[in-house]
Amino acid sequence: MIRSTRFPLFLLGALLLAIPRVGAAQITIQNTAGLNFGSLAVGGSAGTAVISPAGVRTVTGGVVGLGSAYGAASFTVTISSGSATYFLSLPTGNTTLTGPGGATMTASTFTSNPSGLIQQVPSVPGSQTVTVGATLNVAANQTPGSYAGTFTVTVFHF
Amino acid sequence: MKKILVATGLFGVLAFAGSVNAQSASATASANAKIVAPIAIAETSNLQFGSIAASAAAGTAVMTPAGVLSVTGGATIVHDGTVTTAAAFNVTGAPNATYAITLPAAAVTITSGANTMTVDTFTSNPTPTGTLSAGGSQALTVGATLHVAASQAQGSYTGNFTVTVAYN
Repeated sequence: MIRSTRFPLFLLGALLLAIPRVGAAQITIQNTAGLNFGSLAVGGSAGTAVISPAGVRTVTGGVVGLGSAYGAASFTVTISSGSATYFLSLPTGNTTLTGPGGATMTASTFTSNPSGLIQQVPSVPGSQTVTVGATLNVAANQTPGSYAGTFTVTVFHF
Repeated sequence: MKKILVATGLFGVLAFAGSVNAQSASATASANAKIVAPIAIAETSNLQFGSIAASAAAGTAVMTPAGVLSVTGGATIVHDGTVTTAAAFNVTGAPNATYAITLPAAAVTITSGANTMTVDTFTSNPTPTGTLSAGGSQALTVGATLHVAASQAQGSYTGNFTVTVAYN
C-alpha cells in the first residue's frame, strides 16, 4: 500500500518535468529571401542559369545573363531547446516556374550552404542562416516574360 | 521500500516518454526569373560609296558612320546624284540592355564581274558597344574604307558584310 502523500508528489514531479517537452516548438524555419535568377536572354539554343548558395549566377548554352538583380534564397533556422543538431531537407525533383500564357520552366538541383542532410546550429538556443540555390532550365526561344514558382525547405529536429 | 521503487519506476517512464519529441518545420520561398526578348539586328540601309572616279594613282573612299564621304589619293567623288550613305541597322531587344557590336575584322571583297575592290576598316556609331532605349531599340550606323586601285576598272561593284550584336 502506497502512502497517499508521497506517491502523488513523485507523480507530479515526473509530469512537471515531462510536460514542457511535449509539443513545444523546438525548431523553426523562416524564409527571408526568395530565389531570383534575374533577367535572362535566350536565343536559338537551350541552356541553364545556375544560382549558387553564395548568390553567384552562371549561365550555360544559349542563355545570357543580364543585369545584376539576382540572388540565392535565404532561410533562418532557429532551435530553442534540445539538441543543436537538425536535418535539412531541400526540394528534390523539379520545381515549376510559370510565366506568360502558361509557359513554364523548371528549377532543379537545389543546393545549400551549409550543405548536407545533418546540420547544427552554433548554440542552443540559437539560429543559423541557410542559403539555397538551384539550376533553371531554359528552353531555346523560351517565351519572354516574368516567371514565378515556389519551393519548400523542411527541417527536422529530434 | 517497495512503494518508493514503484514511484521511482513510474517517474522514470514518464520522464523518458517526455524527452522523445520529433518535430519538423517548413518554410516556402519564391523562385523568380525573367526571360527577355533575344537581341536582333535588321538592316535599314546599305553602305553606298556612290560614284567614284579612279585614276592612275590608287586611292580610297572613306564613309563615316555619320554618312560623310571623303576620298584620298587618286580617287575622286563624282557628284552625279548617286546616293551615298553609311550602312544603317535597327537593333532591338530588351529595354535598356547593353550589347557588343562586332564588325568585320577582315577585308570584304566587292565585285563587278571579274573585277574586285576591297572594303575594310569598318567603323560604327555607337562603338564598340550600344545601349538599347527604354523601348528596346537603337539605330546603328556603319562606315568603312573602300580601296580604289590605280586604273580601277569601271563598273558597279557590290558585295556583302555582316554585323553581329550580342547582349553583354
